[in-house]
Amino acid sequence: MSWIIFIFQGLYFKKKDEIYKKIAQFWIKIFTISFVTGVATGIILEFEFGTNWAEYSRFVGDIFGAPLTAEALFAFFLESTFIGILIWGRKRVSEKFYWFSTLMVAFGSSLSGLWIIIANSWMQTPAGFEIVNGRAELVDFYRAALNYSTLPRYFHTITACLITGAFFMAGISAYYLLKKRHVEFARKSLYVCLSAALAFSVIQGALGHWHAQQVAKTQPEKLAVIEGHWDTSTQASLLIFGIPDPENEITRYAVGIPGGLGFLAFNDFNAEVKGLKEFPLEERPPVFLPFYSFHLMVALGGYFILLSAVGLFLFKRKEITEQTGYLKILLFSMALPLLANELGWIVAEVGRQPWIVYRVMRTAEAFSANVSPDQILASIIGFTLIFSVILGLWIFLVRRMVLDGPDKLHEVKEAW
Amino acid sequence: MLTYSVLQIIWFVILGTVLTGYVILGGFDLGIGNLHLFLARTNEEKSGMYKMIGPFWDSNQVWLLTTVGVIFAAFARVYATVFSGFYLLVIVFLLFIVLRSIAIELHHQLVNEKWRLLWDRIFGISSLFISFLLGLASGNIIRGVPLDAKTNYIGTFADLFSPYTLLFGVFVLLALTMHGATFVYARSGSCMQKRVRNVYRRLFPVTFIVFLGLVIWTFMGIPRASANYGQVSIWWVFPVLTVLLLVWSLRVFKSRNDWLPFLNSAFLAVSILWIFAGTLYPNIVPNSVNPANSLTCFNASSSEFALAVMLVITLLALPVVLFYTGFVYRKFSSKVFK
Repeated sequence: MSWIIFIFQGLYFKKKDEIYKKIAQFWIKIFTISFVTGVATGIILEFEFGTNWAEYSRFVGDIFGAPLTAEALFAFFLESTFIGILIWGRKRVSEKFYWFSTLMVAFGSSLSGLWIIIANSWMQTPAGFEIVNGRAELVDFYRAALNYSTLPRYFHTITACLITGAFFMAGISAYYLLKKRHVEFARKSLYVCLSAALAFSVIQGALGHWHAQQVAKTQPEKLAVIEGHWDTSTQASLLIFGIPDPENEITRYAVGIPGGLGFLAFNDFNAEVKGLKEFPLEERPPVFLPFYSFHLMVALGGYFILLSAVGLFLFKRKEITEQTGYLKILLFSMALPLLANELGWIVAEVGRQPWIVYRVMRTAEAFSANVSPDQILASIIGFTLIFSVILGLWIFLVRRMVLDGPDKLHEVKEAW
Repeated sequence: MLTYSVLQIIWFVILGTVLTGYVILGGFDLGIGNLHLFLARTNEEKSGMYKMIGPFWDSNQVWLLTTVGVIFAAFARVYATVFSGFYLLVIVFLLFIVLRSIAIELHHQLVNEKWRLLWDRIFGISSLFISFLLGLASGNIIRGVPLDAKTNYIGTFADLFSPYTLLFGVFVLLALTMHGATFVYARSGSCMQKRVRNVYRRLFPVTFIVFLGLVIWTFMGIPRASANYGQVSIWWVFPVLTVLLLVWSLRVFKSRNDWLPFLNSAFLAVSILWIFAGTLYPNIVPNSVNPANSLTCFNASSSEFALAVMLVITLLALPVVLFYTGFVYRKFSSKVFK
């Protein structure tokens, strides 16, 4: 969202049209409330590796702690300082500086994403380390940070965030057009959001492909699981449909394109694609969850391209306000990118099991031995309760802001 | 060149420094949360106290995250031992941190009478608990905790509460409240200034006695604590500095510069924190069962190469952070009440 808001503010400076200022101001309201909710709930991650994954922390601290600290130093400070200006400083700083603050928040968030993906990618494709005295020690910073999967995964996740923001904002704009409220505002907003959504969704197709090729090369079990591919073969087919059956180690009712998998994964129809049977049973990830998550995610990705392309086509024909059917679909698709993101993470994390650090440390060896199960249960219940309440409050507030509309901003009464 | 042990000492100092950053910056907004429970009389005053910390509290809290990050990156064994060992304490602490963040931000979003009352209570009570729990945890570390051969915590949750650690909690609670008072003094206009100065003056003797008791208890009760103070050493700077600052604090409100009390209080926070760091060094987590198997900055640190890389990252980032933090504080340094 922050990048798209940055674009709106830029449009205001370029076109000198007050409507863009209003658009930016409206979305900043919704953005900031979402941002602080994210800050409040995200803090626990910084502690969780220590509280719940003590053995893991001891083993990887040499490498894994660095990106987390760098994230706090480079990104968290930047975001949190400039979000303060976005919330409190509109009348205290010049318009240009306010614009710059949005840029800093957007930049900070993206940087934060980079560091956390560096950390997580190291768990997927560890590099630049050696094992000394029973722990992983850093030997090559660049190889550890920019390991095989860092870049494809970073661009894949950041683009996913941009798509999520674009459809979220497009959905709210569609709501206004359906209700015939703030039509001028919503039209302009929708056009920019749909353009962004289409551009990013198309790019995401290419990025997803890049990421999948990297997985094929570096984590063959994961590829085999998400494709339901059991037997090592050349001319492996790309599944269009199928139901994997782990007990009998086959995928039933499989319909596929012969050679398609080899081509997509290795640019060669005749490439050999390793099947799941190649790997010992105790080193295979679970099948169902990654398999279905992956296919649903890909389907959603295609749907996003289609949805935004149709929208822009309707725009060209100048009928967008009349297309109630389309606008309704857009409204109800608002949260689907969030679903796609979660599915993607399920593929990434469940597909890596049984390892916490791929082929280096097992998840079963990583948890805190001295924390009892009932303590963990208590903490899960506690956080679930509080986070649910916070989710409820967030929905309530965003809904209220949308109903109030861009004309009646809940101004912070500034005391200065 | 920097040798491995010099790097380890540098990282002990960096850890202390970022923690000091949190105590000074995060500390004053916690203190304002505590004060808010009884100092503010009208709705305007209540809202005013949120406004004082509005643009700052989030980046202040990042100092806490940075501290935790530094512990993880430089002393992963400490990170693993402390956070898994103090599990329930950490979870409760985090729940209050989450609640408090939400209360501060929603206070100006959900503004009717009932919501405000709820946010005020959450803000105040969670600030109280966070201040107290910070002290309780510090008390446990300074006293030492029972660890097994693999440096896993073997005490119970109840073991974390002892007269000494409870007193430590009370001290930190009082000290942060006074620290918050100096910030309120700097940013409120005349109507609140007098009252907050009186609060500071009334708390001063109580806090001082608690502090004195704590110092005596620490040095009499924990033999290891006086190791660094047994001879003439650099550590003596901090007790001397503390005494000087305490003398200064008696007259600091007479100045026409409203920011001096805060400055005095911030320096006091630094010097008191380092007095206690001096009771630990080179330990970070002393082992009360087998002192030889304590976690120190030498045996718990990351590898030499990792420490060097992290040092470069920190030296690149910190000046930039301090620059724009300073900038925002200057932008928002004016009085809240006219």
